Amino acid sequence: MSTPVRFAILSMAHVHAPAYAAALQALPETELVAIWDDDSERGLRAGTNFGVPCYVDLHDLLRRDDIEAVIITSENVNHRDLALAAAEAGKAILCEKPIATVIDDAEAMIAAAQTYEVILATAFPVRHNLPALRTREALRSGAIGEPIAIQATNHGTLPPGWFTSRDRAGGGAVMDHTVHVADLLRWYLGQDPVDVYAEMSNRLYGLSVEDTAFLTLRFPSGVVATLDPSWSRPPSFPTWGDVTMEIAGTRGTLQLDAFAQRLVLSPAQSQHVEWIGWGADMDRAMILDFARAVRNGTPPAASGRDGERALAVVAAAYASAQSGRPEAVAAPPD
Amino acid sequence: MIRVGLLGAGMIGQVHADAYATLPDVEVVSVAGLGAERAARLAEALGATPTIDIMAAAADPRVDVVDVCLPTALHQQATEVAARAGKDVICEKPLALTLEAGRRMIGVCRTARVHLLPAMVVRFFPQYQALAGAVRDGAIGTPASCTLVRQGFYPSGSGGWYRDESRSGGIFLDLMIHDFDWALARFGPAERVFAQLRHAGSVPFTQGMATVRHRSGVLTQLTGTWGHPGPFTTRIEVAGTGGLLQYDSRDSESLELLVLAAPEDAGDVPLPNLATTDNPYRTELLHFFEVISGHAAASVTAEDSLRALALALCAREAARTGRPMAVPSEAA
Repeated sequence: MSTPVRFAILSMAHVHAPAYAAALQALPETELVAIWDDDSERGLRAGTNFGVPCYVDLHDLLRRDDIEAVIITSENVNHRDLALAAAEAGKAILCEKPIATVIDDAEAMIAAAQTYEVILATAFPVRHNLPALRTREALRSGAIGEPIAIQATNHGTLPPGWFTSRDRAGGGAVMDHTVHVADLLRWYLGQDPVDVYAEMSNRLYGLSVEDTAFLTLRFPSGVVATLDPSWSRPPSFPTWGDVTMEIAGTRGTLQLDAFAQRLVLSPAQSQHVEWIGWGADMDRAMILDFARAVRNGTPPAASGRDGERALAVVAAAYASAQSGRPEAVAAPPD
Repeated sequence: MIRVGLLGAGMIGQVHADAYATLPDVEVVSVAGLGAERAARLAEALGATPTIDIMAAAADPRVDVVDVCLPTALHQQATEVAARAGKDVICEKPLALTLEAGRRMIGVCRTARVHLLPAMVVRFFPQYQALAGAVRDGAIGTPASCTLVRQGFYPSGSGGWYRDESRSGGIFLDLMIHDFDWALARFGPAERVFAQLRHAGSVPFTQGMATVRHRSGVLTQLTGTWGHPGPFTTRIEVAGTGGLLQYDSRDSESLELLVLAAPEDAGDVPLPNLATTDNPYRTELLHFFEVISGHAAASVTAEDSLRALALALCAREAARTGRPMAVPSEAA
């Protein structure tokens, strides 16, 4: 690759933003040149940490021609406006998941990227998790024959701040933790689910959004996948959560624990055991993939459409929780 | 000395026979089996009389207690014959293939004033008892959700009866009944259940998946697999307002034997590895004989077993229709 791709980060609201900033600075193929944040204090703090200017006026930043790409890590509901502004300014966009909180917003983002001919990618880092990638290769090679049934989890601890605000996050655990596995399932099986059944509750924390859910996804091939996206790991849990999948097939079973590569730390000063992951850095791999897409004009691993397809599963889950029935996953527009 | 007639010389008959050999004040006097050879072998080991006339053995005047370890389709008839002959009855799970049959069995035993003790053995597994105790003691506060998984190789049974839904009830009734029962005992009656059933066309593989909403508001997700290629595996997790409890049999092997030779034939029916635990089948039978002797109240009743059966039947129907099923309150 020739010169590094020059990035700005739009909003430090998301917990992943600091890791992305660190990855941009660590990779020789990328450079972090600016941050924008609507919370000026948070933005200035990040700017100081990472040694880059922080803008309070989005358009001042987007007017800079030397910035080629942006990573959007705002509150979920602001993805749309930021993506539309960035697309209009001709910037390539890597948008944190979920791509938006409603399908209409996702479609507007996809349309804007088309209109202004910029790349729109969705941040699905688990596609770059090496065990998850090897799982796909094993499936493709026929290692377990035809897939039959899947048990998946994407557990988490209760996330901080706006993540539990319906107005800003668009929902609770289902909005936050369905899309990673929904995307992996689409990527593995090569098809969208037909419908989704969901049971949800808010018994753990009593918030206005759900903290607990069980989803069942049915695919055209007949594969049935169950998914637990709950925020059911307590604060004492040794890590943030998990991504696991057990895929039963006609010739065998694959058991994926995406973050099993870990050290176990028992600190003398604390009651809590901690897990320290030592697996390959999926955030870096994702950002590198996106930077290559920007530099070479190739498609990124996960597009805006992939983000919208995963969001369609979330929308069906919420519809099912309302209706008490399995609800169809909306088809993409032609 | 309590004299037992053991009906069934298949996998569970053998497991019970092993436990009887260690129980004080219990003597197995007859073993009735569908296969003469297996019945004879088991009877010889126990110093009992073998027979292939199962219903005659159920009414054998020499026995006080009949232990029904037969294929499920035979539970009702054997139980009723034994009860009418005045025997206390221990009956394997599931209690019956239909609610009507289960209710009749309970009615006949009540009329005959004999015990009907359902062998819901998972209640006697030490790890499930520890989990139940921790939940009851509030270790995780108010429960919100529970995941229960049970996976083993595809059972055959005499004449392949497990594979015949008309004889075994299928995976929801035969395998997942344990977890339905455990969830009902912990989190109370079910409001509705959604379920899916997957078969592989080409190989013996069946996976049942169910989501239960309890009237208490707790959500339970259950998975049962016949045809799992790994070792017999059970997993549970319960999440609550005060924490998270997890059990995974794969992380709990206190002793593993690794050998170079090819593995031996695993047998008819998958069983958990019990090498390093108190044998829960023995714990179960010991408890039942305390109940029969009047020294204890039953910790699991035929009505509990019937409620688990009702939920399993609803799950099977939900899987057939693809729609969530309301669980009738009289069943729950």
